[in-house]
Amino acid sequence: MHYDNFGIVMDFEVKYYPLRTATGEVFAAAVWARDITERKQTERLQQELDRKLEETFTQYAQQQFLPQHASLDMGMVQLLTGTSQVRVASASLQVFHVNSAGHCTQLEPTRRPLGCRLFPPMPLTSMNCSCSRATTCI
Amino acid sequence: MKGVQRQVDEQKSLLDNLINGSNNTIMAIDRNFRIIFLNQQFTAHYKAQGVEVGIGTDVLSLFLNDAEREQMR
Repeated sequence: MHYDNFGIVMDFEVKYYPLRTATGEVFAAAVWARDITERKQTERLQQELDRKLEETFTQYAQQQFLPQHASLDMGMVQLLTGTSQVRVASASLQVFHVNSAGHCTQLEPTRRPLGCRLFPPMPLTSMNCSCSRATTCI
Repeated sequence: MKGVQRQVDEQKSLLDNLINGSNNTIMAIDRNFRIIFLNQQFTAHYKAQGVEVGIGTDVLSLFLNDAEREQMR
């Protein structure tokens, strides 16, 4: 339950229990409420941070990242579109670089935790797993 | 008889302590939405907002405006 009363916005987890007479008739209801305002505020803050992170990544990829690299694998796509910390944290980032001969080099897949620590996405160690054709890059 | 009374008093004391020792707000309302029981946390919560609540308070008045309250009845 979310309500704004007396100028204060609060969130409550509310449970109701029927109170019965000996014959089973409900004569009242017991109401149990837990103040979860702090938890909800944290969740909203997390959502806002996720949104900003996604926005920043998207903007960064569009302006700087994509022109330098052939493409991104699904891990990065997930990273760019992910909205939760868990998904971002578990995303696998793989970067492909196209060399002057038109071949691509897969750089080391990396797992990194959430946040701007992914900036800049380079440097990553090359695994020397050159693709035979540039088209093998997604 | 006194033994039974003592047992009842002890049970009541135990329940009171359990309910009032909670950080959660607990109350009971009758079929007319009037409070018939409330714990200290509930009272304190509304007192902090300048609202006095007690046995007999219409609980709808705490959450709803007049129009919403009439709609509920």
